[in-house]
Formats: sequence, structure tokens, C-alpha cells
Amino acid sequence: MFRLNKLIKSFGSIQNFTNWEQDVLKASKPVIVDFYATWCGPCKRLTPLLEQKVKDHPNVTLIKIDIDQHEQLANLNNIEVVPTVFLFQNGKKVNNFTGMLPPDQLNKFFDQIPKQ
Amino acid sequence: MDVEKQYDLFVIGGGSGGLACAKQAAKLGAKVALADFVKPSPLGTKWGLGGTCVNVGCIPKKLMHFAATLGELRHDQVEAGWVDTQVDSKHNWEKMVENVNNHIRKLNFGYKNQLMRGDVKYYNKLAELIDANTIKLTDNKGQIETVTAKNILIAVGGRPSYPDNIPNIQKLVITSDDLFWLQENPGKTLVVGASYVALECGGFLHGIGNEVAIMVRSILLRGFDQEIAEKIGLYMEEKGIRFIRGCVPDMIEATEDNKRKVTWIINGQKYEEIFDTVLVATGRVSDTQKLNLEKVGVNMNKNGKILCSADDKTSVPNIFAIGDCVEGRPELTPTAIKCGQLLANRLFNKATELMSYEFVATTVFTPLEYGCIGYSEEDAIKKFGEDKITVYHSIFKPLEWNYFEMHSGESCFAKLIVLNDNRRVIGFHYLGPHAGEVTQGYAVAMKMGVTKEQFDSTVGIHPTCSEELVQVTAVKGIDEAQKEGC
Repeated sequence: MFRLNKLIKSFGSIQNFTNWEQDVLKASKPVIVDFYATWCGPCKRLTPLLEQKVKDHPNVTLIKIDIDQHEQLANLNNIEVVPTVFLFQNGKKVNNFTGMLPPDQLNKFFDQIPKQ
Repeated sequence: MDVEKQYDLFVIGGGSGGLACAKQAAKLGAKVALADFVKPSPLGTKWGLGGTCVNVGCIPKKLMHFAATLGELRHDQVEAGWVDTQVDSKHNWEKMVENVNNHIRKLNFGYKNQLMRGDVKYYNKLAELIDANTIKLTDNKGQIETVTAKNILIAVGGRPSYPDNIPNIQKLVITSDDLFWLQENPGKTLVVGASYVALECGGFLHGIGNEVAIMVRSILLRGFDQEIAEKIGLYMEEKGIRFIRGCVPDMIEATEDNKRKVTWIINGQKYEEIFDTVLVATGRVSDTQKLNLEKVGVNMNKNGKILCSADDKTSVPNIFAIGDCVEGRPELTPTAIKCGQLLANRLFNKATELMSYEFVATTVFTPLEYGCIGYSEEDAIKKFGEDKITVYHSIFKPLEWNYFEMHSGESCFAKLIVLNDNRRVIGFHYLGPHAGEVTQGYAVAMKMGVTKEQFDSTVGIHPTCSEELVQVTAVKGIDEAQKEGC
């Protein structure tokens, strides 16, 4: 059993957003929340990068939220710029950035997420 | 007992005027709220915060006009050396409209943030007055809430009007409310109207490659200098836009394949033609009908425009109105903005400055652009008398037009109207490329009372089109407008 666990590698996942409390605040793994807009150019470039990095990271879930579809949630989180990205751990906002990040800063953001 | 009101100022309408006033008032420390709600067009088009200019006016218009001018430059590109340029490539409407709409949504978002950061409470609800201090707000689900305010500002703007002689017209035609959000190219289009909206829209639709006809009841650009208006029409005709003059649509019907069959009558003769789309741009109406203004005592003219004094007060002392919904105001974004800011200053900062509408510069973005400040020739003659003014005129050709031989050498035109007794320039007219950019700076001079001699003593920038204005010497009625020689 022990050997089997070592053989199964973890991958991060991209989850459909349904409920803020369940999906973000009460999640067991760290959660990256990507607030984006369909009319926003930098968002269109950032989201695929986040998706790739999430898949490569063993311990994080990505949730993407369209601010026009979820206006109240965007207001609650004071979204003034898109993209705005938050990292939640155990229900708390522990990190964030806005706009498109250069590769080394994006890597640093992901390196700081605990691997288990 | 005087019940304290929830807000110092409640603004109805989140367009150019309403937003400017709300933000300025909040900056000055007032407790402000703003309600904006877009009633969908008859065809179901709707949009976000920002009003007509941002969503269905100036912004998308200018972007689409720019798209059309880019297409027209392809021939010039070839002659300037870009010989591989494809002069016949087709325009992709979907790409343009997606980019235009995305930009507008960015602006909607920006305005929402500005209100939030500026401490203005934003209600995305339809407002109606209950009394002079109480506003009823209804959201899109029908839920109602009521708020109170010391002062109310009505800045609801206007919407396109429809001719009343054709049954079911609202479902058969589009207006400017719909054009900028169409997800498909409108195709062969009949534009009904002679306003700047009609000419600008007809102009860029043709510029992107559509077959366009413009149906005009009488004159072009009523209220603007008619000599220039006719030159604009002539330029558009020379470009290939068909004008159908002296009539209005008699009938519009949907065909089996969802095109539009339009019938009209000229001199007793009936004409009929099929178009893909009919765009109606015959005027705009003030959006005050559902506000309950009569009951509250706010006086309007018979067209629904609110009657205000020079300080923007309505017939009810604590109710104000600015922008397109007020009688006698120019229907322009910058005047609504300035007016809103000055009103906020007077209400909350003890200021006294009133809005001035003198020498307001404006530009019509037709295929050949027209910038103007002050009096048209007709208005100057009417006000001062033909013998009290001198009109200077000049025909010129932009240098850049010398690459492509099909450019006309006679289309561009400059005109200055000068008051004889003090030599003040009271009318500025420029018909040519980049008219908005050319005209703006001269408005500063005119506000300062610039004279023709001061114009003449100003050294021009060479080679530009703008320098024509400080070099025009030909007098209308004595000299020809066209310079001889090089």
C-alpha cells in the first residue's frame, strides 16, 4: 500500500465553481481563485498559464470566476482590476496578485504553495 | 419634524452627466447615490453603466469610423510603397464588434469601480419619483425599494425615436442602440435620416464595404452650416453612397428571407427596394416618460424635455436636470460632464459658476470629417446681419492625399466667420481629415475672443491641414476659395 501511494503522483485540478463557501473557504487543499472577465485581454493570456501551472503542481485547485456572471462575489472581494488572483488556504486569503505576471514571478507564486 | 434624508444627492441616470455630477459631489463630501438602468431596445439590445456615449454613441461610433478609414487607406498604402497591400480584402464585422464591445465592457467596469471608490452608492435599478424627495427603485426582477434624498438630479438622457407612420416599425428596423452590438454584419443597409448619426453610421458602414443608401427627407445636418453639410453629402456620394432625397419610407415589410422591402414615393412615383437592414436615425427623444415627473410638478416641453433655468433647476426647487433630457442643451458628452461638475460645485461647495455653452467645439465623424466652433454662416447672418460679417474661405488638399490619385483636390474646406466691428472670429469650420484633432485647440482661442488678425499673425505648422486656418485670406463673395498655383 505504501509503495502504491509513492507511485501515484498528485496533480493539481481545475474545478468548476459552484459555491464560494464549499469550493473556496472549506476546501481542504489550497485554492487559486482566478477572477477574470471575458472582455479582458490579459485575462485570456493568464488563465491558460494558471491552468498549466496548476496541473503541474501536486497540491492546488484552480477555480475560475467570471466577474460579470458573479457580480456580487466580485464586489464582495473588492475586485477593481482584472485579472485578480487569490490564493486561499484553510479559508484565508494568503496571497494575491493582479494583472499579468512575468514568468519568474508566476513561478515564485506557485513555489510558495505547499506541495502537500 | 424634518425626517433626515438618506442621501444629499440622488442621481437618476448613469451617463456622461449623471456620473460626472455624482463623482464630483461625493468628492466634495456629499452622500451620493446613483441609479442607472438600461431599458432594452425594442429588439432586446442592452448594455452596462456609462450612458449613451460609452455604450451606443461616441465611443463605438468613433472606433467603427476609424475601422472604416483604415480600410480606405489601403490604396494610399500601395502608392506609398506597400505594394503587397490587398486593396480588396474583406472586412470582418465580428472581429471589429468583439473588440469594440470588449472595450465598452472595460469602460462599464471602470465606471462601476469609480463609483465604488468614490463612495457613490450604485443602484442598477429603474428609478421613478414618488415625490420631490422620494425615489422608487425597481430591479430587473421586479423587486422594489424606496430611498429618500435632499436633492435629486435627473440625467436620463434620450433614446432613438421611430417614425410613426409604419406599422410594427420597432421590430423591423434597427437604431444606433442596436447597430453597435449587432453580432452580424448588417449587410446592404438603408439609413433613414439626415442627422449626424445617420451620416456617420451610413458613412462607416459603406467604408467597411457595405452597400449603403441614405434616405433624406429634406436637408442634411439640420442646425449645422449648410454649405459644409452639402459638401459632406457630395463627398459621400462621390465615394459611392447613394442618397435618396426628398422622401421618407412609406412602407417597410419583412420579406420571406427576413430582408426588408422598403417603399417610398417621390413626385407621385412609387419606388421599392430590398435591403438587408434598415437603420432609422431620424431623431432622439428625451427618456422622461416613466419618471412620474408631471405628478411631482417638474415641467417639461411637449417632447418630454425638461425645462430648466441656467442653473439647471427645474420647476421643483430641489430637483435638477442636466444633459440630453433638458430643453435647449447641446446633445454632447463634454457639455453634460462639465455641467454636472459645475452643478455639484454649486450644490456642495458654494460655487457660483454656471455652465457656458458659448463656443463649444464639436466634430462630425463623417467619411470626410467636419469640425466646427461657434456660428454657422446662416446663424451668423440671422443674428448679426450679412453686412456685419465677413466670411473667409479656402479649398485645400492634404499633402498625404497626393499618393493616391483618386483623392479629390477640392473636397477639403476651411471657413472662418468674422464679426466686422471687433474682428472677432465667431465661426470656425474645418472640413478635412483629423477634424477633431485640428479643431480642439482653436476652441481655446475662440473662448478668449481671438480676432482674424491674431489668426493671421499666427505662424502655421507646415505641412499640415490645420495651417490653412491661419492662412485663409480669400473672402467669400469676392475671391474664389481655391488657391491658384502651388
